[in-house]
Amino acid sequence: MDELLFARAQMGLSLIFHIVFSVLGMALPVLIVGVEWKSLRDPKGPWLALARTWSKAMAVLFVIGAVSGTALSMEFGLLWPTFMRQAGGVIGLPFALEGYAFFVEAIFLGIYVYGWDRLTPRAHWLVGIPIAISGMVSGAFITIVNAWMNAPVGFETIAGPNGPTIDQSSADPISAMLSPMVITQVPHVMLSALVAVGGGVAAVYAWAWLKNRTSAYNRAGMLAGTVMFSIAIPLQFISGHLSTVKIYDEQPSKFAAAEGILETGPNQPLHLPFGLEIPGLTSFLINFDTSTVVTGLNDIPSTDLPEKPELVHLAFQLMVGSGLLMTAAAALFWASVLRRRRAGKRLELPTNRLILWLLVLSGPAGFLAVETGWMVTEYGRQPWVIRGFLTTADAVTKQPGIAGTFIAFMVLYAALGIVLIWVLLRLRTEHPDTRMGA
Amino acid sequence: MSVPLVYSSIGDLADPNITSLLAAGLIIVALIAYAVLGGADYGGGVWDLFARGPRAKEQRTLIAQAMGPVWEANHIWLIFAVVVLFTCFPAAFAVVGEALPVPISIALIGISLRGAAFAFRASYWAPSAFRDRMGTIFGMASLITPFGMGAALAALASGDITLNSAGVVDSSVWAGWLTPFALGVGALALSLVAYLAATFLCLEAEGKLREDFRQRALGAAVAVGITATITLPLASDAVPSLWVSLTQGVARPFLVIAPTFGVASLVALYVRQHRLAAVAAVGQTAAILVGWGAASYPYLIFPTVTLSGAAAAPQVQLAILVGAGAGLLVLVPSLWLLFSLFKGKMPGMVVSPKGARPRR
Repeated sequence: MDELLFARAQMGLSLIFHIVFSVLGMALPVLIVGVEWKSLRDPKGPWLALARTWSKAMAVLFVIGAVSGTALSMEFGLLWPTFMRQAGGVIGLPFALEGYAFFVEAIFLGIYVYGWDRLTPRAHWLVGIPIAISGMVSGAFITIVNAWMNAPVGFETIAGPNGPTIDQSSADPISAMLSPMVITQVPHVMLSALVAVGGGVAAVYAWAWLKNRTSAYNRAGMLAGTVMFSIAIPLQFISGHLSTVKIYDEQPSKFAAAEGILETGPNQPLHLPFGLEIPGLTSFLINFDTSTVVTGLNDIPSTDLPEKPELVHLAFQLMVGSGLLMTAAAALFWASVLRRRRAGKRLELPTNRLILWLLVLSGPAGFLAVETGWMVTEYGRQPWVIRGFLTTADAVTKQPGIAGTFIAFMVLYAALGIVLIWVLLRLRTEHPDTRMGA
Repeated sequence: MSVPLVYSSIGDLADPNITSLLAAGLIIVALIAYAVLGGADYGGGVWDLFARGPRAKEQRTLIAQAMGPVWEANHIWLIFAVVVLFTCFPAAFAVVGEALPVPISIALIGISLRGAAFAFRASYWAPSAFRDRMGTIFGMASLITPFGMGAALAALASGDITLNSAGVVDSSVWAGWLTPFALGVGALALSLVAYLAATFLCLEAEGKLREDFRQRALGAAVAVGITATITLPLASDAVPSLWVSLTQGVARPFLVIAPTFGVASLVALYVRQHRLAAVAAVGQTAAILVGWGAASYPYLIFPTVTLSGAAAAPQVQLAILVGAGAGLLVLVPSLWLLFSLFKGKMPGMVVSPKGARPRR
């Protein structure tokens, strides 16, 4: 591997690792605020115990997210100094605003986690709200930076030795935050967090349910997670559709790679796994007209394509497939609840093993969708780091030795990941209800 | 495709404009906050590692209680400084990344291990043997990180970081931060955070535990004195421009102010005026950083990168400054709430121990 590949590997590894905690930092507070609110109205129910347990998990998860995020902020300079030279002045503002949002999140998280015994129940619940808001807002700011990398705006160009480059003196930091991709990417990322975290939480308690630990505590946990991702997932399909259409407009190379369109033309089929396809559907989905012409990979210059466009397609299919699996889980779950209700029972959760297994699979599926969606947008942008203006090859540091730092960070993140999972599994068994199978 | 030349004159010696000065001031403020608050948290790790005597367990418990609610917020000051640096002086940030990958990577790994190990150790549901091991990692990482940061900071003033005509670093990744001076600054940073932590812990402790930390603070003060005495004379050779500015230029007062605060803090500590000792320790840290900044002016990285040369467009810096000002409206009350809850008297409006839920 050459230095560029090591740099990309280190950045990719750091982001694959960090994004898990970003998503948890965005959506777990929403869920916790929700269950703590339930606990105010139903103090005898299992909600308070859930909120307390989750707040412990959130505290540990937040730390891992904060330290890996710190590493990332410096890795921009360590690995991509020329990206910072070109982008820092144009798109630094949302980074700084994200810093503020993150600050607020850290402050209120400290109060929340350590304040259970110091605040009245209502005040404690209120403290959770800024955590949820700032978590979501910081995710939005970072996505705004990413949207700019995909469709850079907010500057004039000047002639460079190899085509137009960014004129730093013309940087307009406010306009730069309004890349055309923002309107679709930001909601898509926020919803992805709600879907993944809802699915992840539902999976933990569905697993306990499968093991016949049908306590009120596990029931409440499964219900809370499922409610959150069931609300988010239909919206996510709409958002995903709008995102894809936007990518068709703005980034034809990414569209062709993601949808696997080999040759330019109308009436493009939707490619499914195993060589199956639905005739005309990709063209139809763009503007409800099968005659819509889509640029294929054959008409996209190789300088605009990643080394292996088929990986973008695979990631795209995995993302959509994960979403479909979770949709099936949610639909069957609520159908079962409704049927039981018709039969005169109160809100009674499914005991059907297929539904429970689907919920268990929704846990990894939601995070797989986050990772593969990230891969579509990032790997699909290659070889550019600022699309049309700066390639990763030109942005990378000229210093040697990235192999060394790559290996060091790989070992670090592997160790942190393993220990974290072990600690969280211990936490799961800490609660009497989950442990005893009450 | 070659790298387009973006900054032809990042060593421009023209006077920096007002937004560059304010942005540099903002970075210094963030660094002072990080050095004082975040620094004390590293110092806490140091004293955790060196917890000794009959009250070793109580010492560790106090450190964990003191850090627990606030250390993450304290840590964000670093991210804030980094983000303002790379937005307002992007070329300087790029040069820092190219020049110092080794000490920065060491510091990043230290930051990650410190934070993660502290959180894992605080996970009371985990077995105690595991938590003890995490405590050791927490302490070790707290030693390495301030040392690496201090050495990296010294390298920026060393003159050993050189650039080619395109403004890209062409010196070795080992340049600047392995000199006796840089290692001395690393040691000074480490003793300073240990001193800060011990003086702060005196405020939180009582009785014999307070005496423990008072003794540790006195020990750290000796370490600060020794490292400063050894390191400072090296400066005339290692960082001549900084030295000239400190002894003859605008930064001259700080060569007096910082030690004065240091001695005042030590005397206060000796006569058990703990609050005064802590305030003076903060003043000493701030004076060192402001003095360093004043002595470096107008360079961010001597002698290749200046404030005006590395500056982003003025409207960008203005946007950051306005954003930072507006953000303070949210940040200051939030920080006040955090610190008053856990470090001061409880404000009756929010806290009502009677109404709080019973401890589980």
